[in-house]
Amino acid sequence: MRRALRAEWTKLRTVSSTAWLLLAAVTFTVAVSTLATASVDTSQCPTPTTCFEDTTKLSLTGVWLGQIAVVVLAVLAMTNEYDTGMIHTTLAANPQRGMVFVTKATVVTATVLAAATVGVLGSLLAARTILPGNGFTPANGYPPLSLADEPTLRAAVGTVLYLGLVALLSLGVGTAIRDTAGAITTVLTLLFVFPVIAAFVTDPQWHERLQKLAPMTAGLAIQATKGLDQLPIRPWAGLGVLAAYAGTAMLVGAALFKLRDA
Amino acid sequence: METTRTYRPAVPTARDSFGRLLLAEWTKLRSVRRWVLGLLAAAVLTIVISLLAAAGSGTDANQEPDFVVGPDGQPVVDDFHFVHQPLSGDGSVTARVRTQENSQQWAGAGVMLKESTVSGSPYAAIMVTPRHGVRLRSNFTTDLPGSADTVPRWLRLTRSGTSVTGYESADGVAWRKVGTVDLHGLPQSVEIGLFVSSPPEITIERQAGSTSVGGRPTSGTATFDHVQVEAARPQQPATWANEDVGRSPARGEATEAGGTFTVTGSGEIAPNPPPDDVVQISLFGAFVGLMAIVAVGVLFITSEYKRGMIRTTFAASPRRGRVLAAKAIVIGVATFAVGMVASVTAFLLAQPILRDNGFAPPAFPRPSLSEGPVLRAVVGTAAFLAVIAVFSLGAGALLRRSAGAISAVIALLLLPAIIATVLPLSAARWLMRVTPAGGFAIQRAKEPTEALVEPWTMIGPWTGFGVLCAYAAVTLALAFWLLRRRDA
Amino acid sequence: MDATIETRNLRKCYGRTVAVDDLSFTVTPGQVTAFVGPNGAGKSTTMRMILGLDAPDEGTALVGGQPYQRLRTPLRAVGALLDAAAVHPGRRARDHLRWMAHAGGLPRRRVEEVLELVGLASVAGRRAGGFSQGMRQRLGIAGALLGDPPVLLFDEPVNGLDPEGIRWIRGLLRSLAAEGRAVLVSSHLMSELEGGADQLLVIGRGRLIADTSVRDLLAAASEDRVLLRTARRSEAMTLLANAGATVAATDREALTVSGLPAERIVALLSERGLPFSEVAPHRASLEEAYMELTRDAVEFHTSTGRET
Repeated sequence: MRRALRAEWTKLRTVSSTAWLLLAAVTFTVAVSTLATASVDTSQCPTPTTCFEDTTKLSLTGVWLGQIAVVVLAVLAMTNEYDTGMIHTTLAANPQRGMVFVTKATVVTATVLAAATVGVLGSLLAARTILPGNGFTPANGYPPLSLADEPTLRAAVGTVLYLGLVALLSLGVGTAIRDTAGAITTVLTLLFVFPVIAAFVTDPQWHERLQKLAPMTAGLAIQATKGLDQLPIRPWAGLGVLAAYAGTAMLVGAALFKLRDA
Repeated sequence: METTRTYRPAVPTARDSFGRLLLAEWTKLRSVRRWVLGLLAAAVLTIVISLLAAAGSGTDANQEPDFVVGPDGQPVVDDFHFVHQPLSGDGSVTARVRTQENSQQWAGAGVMLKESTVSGSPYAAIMVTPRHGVRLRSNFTTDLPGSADTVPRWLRLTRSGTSVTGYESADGVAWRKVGTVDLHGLPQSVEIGLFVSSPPEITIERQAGSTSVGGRPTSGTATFDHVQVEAARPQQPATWANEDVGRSPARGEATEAGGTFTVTGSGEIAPNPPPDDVVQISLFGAFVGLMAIVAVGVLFITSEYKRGMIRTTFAASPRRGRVLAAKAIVIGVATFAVGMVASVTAFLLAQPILRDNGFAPPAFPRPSLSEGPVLRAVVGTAAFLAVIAVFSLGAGALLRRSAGAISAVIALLLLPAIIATVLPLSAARWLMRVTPAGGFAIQRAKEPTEALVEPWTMIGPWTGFGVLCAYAAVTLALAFWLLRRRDA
Repeated sequence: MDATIETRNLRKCYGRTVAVDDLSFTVTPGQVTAFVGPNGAGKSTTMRMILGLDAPDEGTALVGGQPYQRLRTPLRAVGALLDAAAVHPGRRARDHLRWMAHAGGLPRRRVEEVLELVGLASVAGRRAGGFSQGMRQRLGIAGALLGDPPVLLFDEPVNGLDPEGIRWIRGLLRSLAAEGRAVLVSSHLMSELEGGADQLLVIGRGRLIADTSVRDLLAAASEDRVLLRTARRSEAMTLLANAGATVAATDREALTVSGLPAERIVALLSERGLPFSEVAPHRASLEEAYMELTRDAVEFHTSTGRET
């Protein structure tokens, strides 16, 4: 097991695209979070105290862009082996396919979780500096963002886990489809298309169904720290929905990986 | 050494023609099954998702109407305070608006001729507004500007048959004609008199992370003097009646003292269609169909780099710019054709479903492909997909790797629309103007409006489409420049 | 069009690596010119520069007296096989050739003609992903021949082929050259070119080491060497070494002697009464000659555990 882990880690860290994609994940997350936070202030609320702005959720908006880098990273971790033919070498060194799959998943997820932590902390830090200037001051009922605050901590940890689950989802789909372009398109469609559809569907029943079942929307419910009873789905339950998608993709991918010819 | 026999083709020497290059690229596209299936999948997805969106959309606008039906069957609001008397046959009404309260920039104080006091009935009115000068309006859609002056102002309406002419003057002596409108089928007996309207003030409020747009009712007061009604045919002397027409938000009133009328009114006289755009709903599947288009557009060029076939291509056609142009034309035209089939089919199939779900006249007039905006939306959606294909091709030529190109294009197209929903309206509008996501605006048959929060309703269709085209053009230009400089 | 390839002072660097350095040569029609050198010597880079795919840092490459970019219908002038794997696996062989024909301004029937020529007519409707290595090479050659060009470039055409395939290609190249075309073939294996090439351009570390005909090279390498077969090897070795010759043991019974003419060797052996079964002038193989020549130019030597 240790041997396989080390092999997968070496493969991942020695490909230049890994470093770039991790960097992109972090910078995109922090940049978009900063821009989103900077563009919202209390001027459009009836009064600053009745804004009810979920500043934590707002400050973690960047993950919507950062996750794209995570998707590409996780998909490439598997499809690159097929593209280059390296999969034969990998399986020759380690014929236990289940083991190969699990170790690859472990290495990729661990790396993504590390980068996600940096990105989330960076976003929160940036928001903490910007928000008071935009009217979200303690006097108006917005204490500075702090991880000591339980909902904020949950949102931060949840966002990190969210990115890890997105990585697992992408790895599963990549293993099942084995084609870089097809896998990336599939995962991005799965993630992005539902929120757009939900914006259009006016039937309240369908609207709620979409919000509960869409992987990205449900998964990001973990970021909510205010108005929890109005959410279509509770935070941890939402993350669970995403976990179900990721789990299914992983199972299907693993099964196909074991059964198919290399 | 014997010289090689010169190859004499049966066909006359083919020139190095662009047409042959187009044929070559078309052969490349049609001969890879995956790409053909991808284009077809885009069409199928567009149609299916549009139908699902139509089935999942509903409205009770006709059951709980916040409008009345106007003269041409369109939904309107017709609320104001009317001080009136009957008029039979031709005649005129004159008055000087002495003061007007600035309750809203489009508040109206003036004289009006109306078929009856039924809300939504035909009318012609000439009025002053606090910020937009004198306007001659009729039947909710006609709006002719007069001078830019405000109170005090003399106004006059003259009826002749079914034709009504509006005049204004600064002193009551020298009159200037503002315009003439024709009210078809206007009966002999009409009501004529003074009116005051005051539309609601648009309020934008942000709460709990989302922005909502509302209307705060307003009420304004105006004073009129030198009021005179003249009739061509002598009639019985009439007394002034006054009432709120329609469902004015606040009670209006009118008093008269020594020839001066003080009138207070609130409400709006304007078209009031419900905001949902049935045409856009029926074309909505393009959001999903475009994902397959992006993949095919990128792969059309990156697959050549991946396998080294790009060298064969450039050896056969050393003028690389033409190769890129041929590829762009082939993928663009193919996508447009597929897109047209998809958008026309989706539109036609979705309309009955939408009608069954409540999107029916009078709140939602039946859209027809012969109307300009509807045609623009349907053909525009096909064009939108075609430009996305070309944009993807350019991104693929620049980045040469499919993963990066597909991600970048999808991110630029979808992310801004999603993020815009949590940002304030001004930031959302800016995002629509600077990212290709604005291209979705081409799908709307209705005009952009300040009253909605969906980001693609905020900019005009051609503006949004233009931004997308600009991105495609710049990407292609960069690719063109780099292609010739780089090694194959 | 004048069927020649000419390069003058070509130079190309990738970063700090000099791939091609001051390369000048001419390829003339009517013979097979082999472009040989170790891996990484710059052969593929040079071919790409001739085809206008990579831009040289200095120098020019001309085909028929013109740069490739200026040819009006390049496929009629030059046919090239750079990489047989450069085919989309989802595309049928026939469609692959068809698009090339369209792009090159060639009539459609050429596609069927070249398919016949390389023997792929029966599998033309199959997708290229299912082709074996040999079939892919043939497809690539078919593409090069589409325009019936007077100049042909083949980059390692026999890579991965079985002996029958190698023989077929050798024969094909010969017949193409015999028609009066200029044929440039690159290879890093000498044995495959044995009997297949007339002129050699030997390149190492980006530089031209030799521009010679095969006959001359072999002659130069074979000078003064005699093959001797005898059962009494060690005695013969001592005797001849004392006489001033350099003796190398080639295999169990054979010796390669250099420095003494054959008659002298026979005389010496007879004097001593040493029996021998064969004395013949040693014909160096092309491979030996080439190894001599490029010994210093090989960038990536392997090391064997012991000298055998």
